[in-house]
Amino acid sequence: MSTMDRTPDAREADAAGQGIELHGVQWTPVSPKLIPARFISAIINTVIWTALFSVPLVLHLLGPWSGYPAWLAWGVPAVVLAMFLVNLALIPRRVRALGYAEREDDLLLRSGLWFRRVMAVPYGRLQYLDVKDGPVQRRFGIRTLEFQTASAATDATLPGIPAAEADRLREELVARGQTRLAGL
Amino acid sequence: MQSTHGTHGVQTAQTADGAWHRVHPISPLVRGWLVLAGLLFFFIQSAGEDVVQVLFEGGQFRAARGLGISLAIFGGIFVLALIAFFLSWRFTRYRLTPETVQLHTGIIFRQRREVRLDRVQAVDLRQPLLARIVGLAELKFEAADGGSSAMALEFIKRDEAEALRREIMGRASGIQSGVDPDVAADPQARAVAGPSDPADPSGHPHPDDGRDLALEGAGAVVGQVGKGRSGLPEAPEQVMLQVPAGRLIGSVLLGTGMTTLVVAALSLGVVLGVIWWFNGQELPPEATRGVLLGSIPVAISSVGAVWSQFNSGYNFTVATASDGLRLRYGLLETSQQTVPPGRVQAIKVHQPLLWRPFGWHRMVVNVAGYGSLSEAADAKKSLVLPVGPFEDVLRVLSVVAPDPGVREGEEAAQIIRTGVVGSGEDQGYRHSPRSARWVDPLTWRRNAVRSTQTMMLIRGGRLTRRLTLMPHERVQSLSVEQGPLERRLGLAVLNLHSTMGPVTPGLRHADVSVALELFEQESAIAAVSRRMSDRNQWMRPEERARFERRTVEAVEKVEELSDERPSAVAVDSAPSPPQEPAR
Repeated sequence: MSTMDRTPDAREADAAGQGIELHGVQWTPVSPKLIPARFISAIINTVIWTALFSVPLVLHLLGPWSGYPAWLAWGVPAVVLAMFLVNLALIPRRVRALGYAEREDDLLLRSGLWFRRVMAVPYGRLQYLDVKDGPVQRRFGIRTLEFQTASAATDATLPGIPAAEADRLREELVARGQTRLAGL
Repeated sequence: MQSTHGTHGVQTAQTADGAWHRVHPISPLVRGWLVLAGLLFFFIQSAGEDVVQVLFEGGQFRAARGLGISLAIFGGIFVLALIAFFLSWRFTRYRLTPETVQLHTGIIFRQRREVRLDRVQAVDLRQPLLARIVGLAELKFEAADGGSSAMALEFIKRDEAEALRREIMGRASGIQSGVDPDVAADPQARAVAGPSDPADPSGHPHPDDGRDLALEGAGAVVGQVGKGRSGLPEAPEQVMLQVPAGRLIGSVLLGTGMTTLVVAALSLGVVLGVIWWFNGQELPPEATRGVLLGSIPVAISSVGAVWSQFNSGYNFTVATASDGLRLRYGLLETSQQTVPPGRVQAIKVHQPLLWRPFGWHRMVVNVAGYGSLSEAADAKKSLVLPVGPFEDVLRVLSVVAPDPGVREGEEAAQIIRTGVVGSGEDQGYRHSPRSARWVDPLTWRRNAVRSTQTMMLIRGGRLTRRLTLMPHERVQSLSVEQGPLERRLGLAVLNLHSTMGPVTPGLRHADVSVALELFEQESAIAAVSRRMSDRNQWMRPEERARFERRTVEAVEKVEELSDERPSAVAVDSAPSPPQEPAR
């Protein structure tokens, strides 16, 4: 609980009963290793996109696009870079805002710093469950769980689960899903 | 299975005999006639001049030679196309086994698909114009995979398609057993069915005596009805409503698509007028040309959309039979859909602004397998009422949501009526708090929710009115969401996730406490709803008996009351067992 980060207004709202805090739910945070993993991916993204948006600037400086307005040439990559930097800065808090809770009949997922969301996926509704990882995630020994029900609106992904825990969760949820199997 | 066919089986019953069959030989032509028509068009276009010269202008040698070459080229392509058609027909085979339908297609890249009958969500019979002319039909099965149709047999003779559909519906809904392991394994069903009686294995009480007769003497039915040539007779049906053509035309003209078109045309006129005024009361030719050229595609597509609305709503008939809801519609291309009850996941009643003076409504449903709204065909399939007065809404609801689950002393029709037209707190609706007026100045008293024992009713919209109904047990998953602004105002959004379709139930800007309460309540219900847990059959005999009783009662009630006072029409005419819904 305490590791979960909130914006000040969210904390205030929860205290005043205006936030979407569920009472009596013991949230499990995702692995803090997700923070460096996301940093690496985000830095790669930042570099690639900033480089792409800097092409006009380079062309402008080297000559062929000398007519191109300088403020635009500098401005666009600057804005892009700024957006990515804000995104980078928010990663730790966004990751700390992620959490899950295994309840008796369903799995709760929470996410979002400013735009918060709490989602309930009943075990009996699970159609399938994916465990995914990529090269960066593998390095940090974490995985991403993806849950799918018969509804396309169920957009339930749970990143940053340690490998052992991911395997345990997968087996646990599949077993629970079978005992609580429900039709459409 | 064999018992029903072996003796009585007239020639069409062979479609269901478990052997491989081919689709009708001319079906590739029906499917691919556009290609041939296109070929012919290009041929006429390129060789037409030569033909004229050869025939009427004294047969010049060059023209004749040109004609020969064209003929050779196009004839060659034509023959190749025909060969391709023949091969594709030759390599398409299907068969019906007791538990599955199998379809083999493809010449080089072969596909073998097998659909389990108990996974079939709906069966549709479609007849495009050309197929209709030659008496063929396409049979489509939908499974809950969210993609395109699970299987389509195109094309087989209409009679055969109907026999096959009947057969499949019968097997899938458990009317016929003996070969059915699920029913056989269920001691209760066996006891009801009477294991020694293969003629009427379903064994539930029929409301219709003629049906029992039909099952006993399938051979006699062949002579009588002429249709029931497979062992199973068509389940008797009751027409609940039919949409008159006049009302349909009116609804299309006043509908959203047409309104948009008119508004677009008007704004175009205004723009032209302004240009005309500022250009010294004269229109520059470029402007006129540009506008005309630009509006042609828009006009064509809008005319197409309006036409498809009209075509798909034409002669729209809703009927019920023991195997579910039957929808029939179409002017040129006709379709017949059968949706088993209990497969409807969510319902939306909807009233565009201009329909209000006439009291018209439109209803769409989510059925697993009917796919998304994105494709026009899918949207068409999800439609259960193109246009109709409130009584029609109640009629359809009595079939797709037979159990409103209202408490003693409440009138389901009133609750639904309030959901469609009402505002404020009548009939137990809980609307957004006062603070929501900053974000929803018009609709904050419309955005409301009402929960009954069996379903959630979510209403919204001020100009275009909407009411969404979703049975608790159909909620796949759910979420509660809140952004910074909503947090300040103490609001939250509750989304209920249904299967893919045009209905996306969600409660906008509810009070946080209401949203959280509903979230807890719905997640608890969704988690424990096991109503359809251990069965794949469409309906158990006792369920079907109940469904039939309910629809008969509902129809009688509606007919009895509709000429009196529309608001008094009761959907839940039958006293519902109170312990049943909340599970």
